[in-house]
Amino acid sequence: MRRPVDVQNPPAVQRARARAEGTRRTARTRPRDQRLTRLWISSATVAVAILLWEVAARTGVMDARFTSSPSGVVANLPWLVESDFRVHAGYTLYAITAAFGLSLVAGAAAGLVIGRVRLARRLLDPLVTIGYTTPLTAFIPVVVMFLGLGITSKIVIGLVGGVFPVLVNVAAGAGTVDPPLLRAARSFSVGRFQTYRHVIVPSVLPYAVTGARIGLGRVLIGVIITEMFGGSQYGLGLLLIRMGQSFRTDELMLLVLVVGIAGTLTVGGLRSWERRMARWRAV
Amino acid sequence: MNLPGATGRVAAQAVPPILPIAALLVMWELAGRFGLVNVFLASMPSRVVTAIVEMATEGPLLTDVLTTVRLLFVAYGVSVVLGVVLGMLAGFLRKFEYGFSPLIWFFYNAPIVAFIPLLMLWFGLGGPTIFVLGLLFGFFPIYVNTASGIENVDPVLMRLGRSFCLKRWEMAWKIVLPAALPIIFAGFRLAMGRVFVGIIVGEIFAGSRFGLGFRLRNAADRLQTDESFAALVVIAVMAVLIGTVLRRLDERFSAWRMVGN
Repeated sequence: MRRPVDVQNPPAVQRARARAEGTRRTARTRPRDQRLTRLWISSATVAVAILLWEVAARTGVMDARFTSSPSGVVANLPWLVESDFRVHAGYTLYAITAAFGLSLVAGAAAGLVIGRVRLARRLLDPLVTIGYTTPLTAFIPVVVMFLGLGITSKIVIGLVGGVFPVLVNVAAGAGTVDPPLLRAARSFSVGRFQTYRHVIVPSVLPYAVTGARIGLGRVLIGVIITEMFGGSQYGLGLLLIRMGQSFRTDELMLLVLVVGIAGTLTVGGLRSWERRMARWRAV
Repeated sequence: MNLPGATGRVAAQAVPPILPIAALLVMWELAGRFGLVNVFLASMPSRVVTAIVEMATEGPLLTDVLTTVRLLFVAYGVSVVLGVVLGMLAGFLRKFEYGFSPLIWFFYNAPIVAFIPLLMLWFGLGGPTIFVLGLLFGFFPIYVNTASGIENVDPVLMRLGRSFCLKRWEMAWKIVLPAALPIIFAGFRLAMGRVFVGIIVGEIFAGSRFGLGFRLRNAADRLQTDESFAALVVIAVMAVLIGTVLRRLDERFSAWRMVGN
C-alpha cells in the first residue's frame, strides 16, 4: 500500500519552505516566543511611560496640579475605600447592569423578529437606522427633561445606547441562517420553537456577541455621561466631574484609571470572546 | 420561518416603510393637540418644524451646523492621518505595535467620556477640548483596523508574493496594502460615527457659543423643548445622512472585497 501524499503540500515542498523560512525570515518565531516578546516589550513600555510621567511631574516639566503623578495616584488609593466612592460605584454598576441586561433581552428578541419576519424588517428598518446612527448623547438632554435626573434616565439612556447594536447584529445573524439547515429541520418536521432553539439561536450567537460588545461600550458611555449632567446625585460620572471642578487631580486621575481599566476588562473581554466565536460565523 | 409564503411577501411589499414613522408623528401631534400630554414638556411635530424654520432663518442654526461640521471634519481628518500612519507603522513593525498595545487597548475599550473632566481641566471650554475628544473617539478604531488589516493578510497571497520573489517594499505596496484596504476602510467608517458622537458630547459639555450639541444643551437648560427637539432632529438627520454616504462608499469598496476573498 502506498502512503497517500498530500498533493497540495508535498513533503519536498514543505522541506524547501522550511529551509527558506529558516534562512530568510529569522524574525519569524513560534507563537509562544512571540507572546513572550510581546509581553516583555509592552510591560517595558508601560514602565518607562510611568517613570517618565513621574520624573516630569517631579522636575516640574509637567505641572503636577494639572497632570498629577504616579506617586500621587498611588498615594490616593486608600481614598477609594475611605470616601463615598463605593456608593457612587455601586450606583453606576447598578445602572449599567440594568441597562445592559434590558438591552440584551430586548435587543435579542426584537432582532430575531426583525431578522426572520420580512414585514417587521420593512416597517422597523427606518426607526432602527435612526436610533442606531444618531449620537446617543444627543438624546440625553431630552430624556433628562422628561425623566429627571434619577436613575431611570441613566438606565433609559444606557438602554437607548445598548439595544440597537444588539438588535442590528442579531437581526443580521438571523438573516444569514444557512437555508439547508432550515430545510433539514423542516424535513424532520421539527417544531417552530425547536427550530429556533437548535438551528437559529446557535447560528445567531456569534453575531449576538458582537452586538453585546458594541452595546456594552455604548451603555458605559451613556450611563457615565448622563451622570455627568449637572444636578445628578450619585454615580461615577458625577464623582469625575466633581473631582475635576475642585481641582483634585490625583483623585481624578485615579478615577479615570479605575473606570478605564474596568471598561477595558469588560469590553476587551467580550472582544476576545467575540474573536473566538468569529470562527463559527457562517459568513 | 418567514410569514407563510406569498402572503407575507405581498403584505411586506404593500406597506411603505415610512409608515411607522408617519404614524408616530401623527400620534405625537394628536396627543399634543388634544391635551393628552403637556405640550410645554413634550412639544409637537408642528412646533418642532416651526422651531427649525425659525432657528434657520433668524436664529443661529446655520452657524451651529457649520461649527459642528467643521470640528467634525478637522477631528476626523486628523484621526485618519494619524491612525493610518501609526497603524501602518504598527502593522509593519511588530515591535512598535507590541510597545504601544497596552495603551491602545486601554483607550480603544475604555469609555472615553471618563476623560471629559480631565480634558476640561487641561483645555478649558470650547474648541480644543471638543477636538481632542473627537480625536480620542476616532483615532483608535482607525489605528487598530489599519494595523490588524496589515497583519492579517491572507497567507496565500503572501506566499504568492514570495513565489514571485518580490522585495519587501514590493510586498508591502502590491500585496499587503491592497489586501488590507477593505479593513482599513471599515475602520474609516466606524470612526466617522464615533467622531460624530465625540463632537456632540464635547459640545454638550464644553461647547461655548455655537454648535448643535451646545444648542441642544442650551435649549434644554432653558426648558425650550421645541428648540431642543429641533436640534435633536437636525443632529439625527446629519447622522443618518453621513451613515448613508459611508454605506454607499463601503458598498462600492466591498464589491471589490468579495472578489478578493
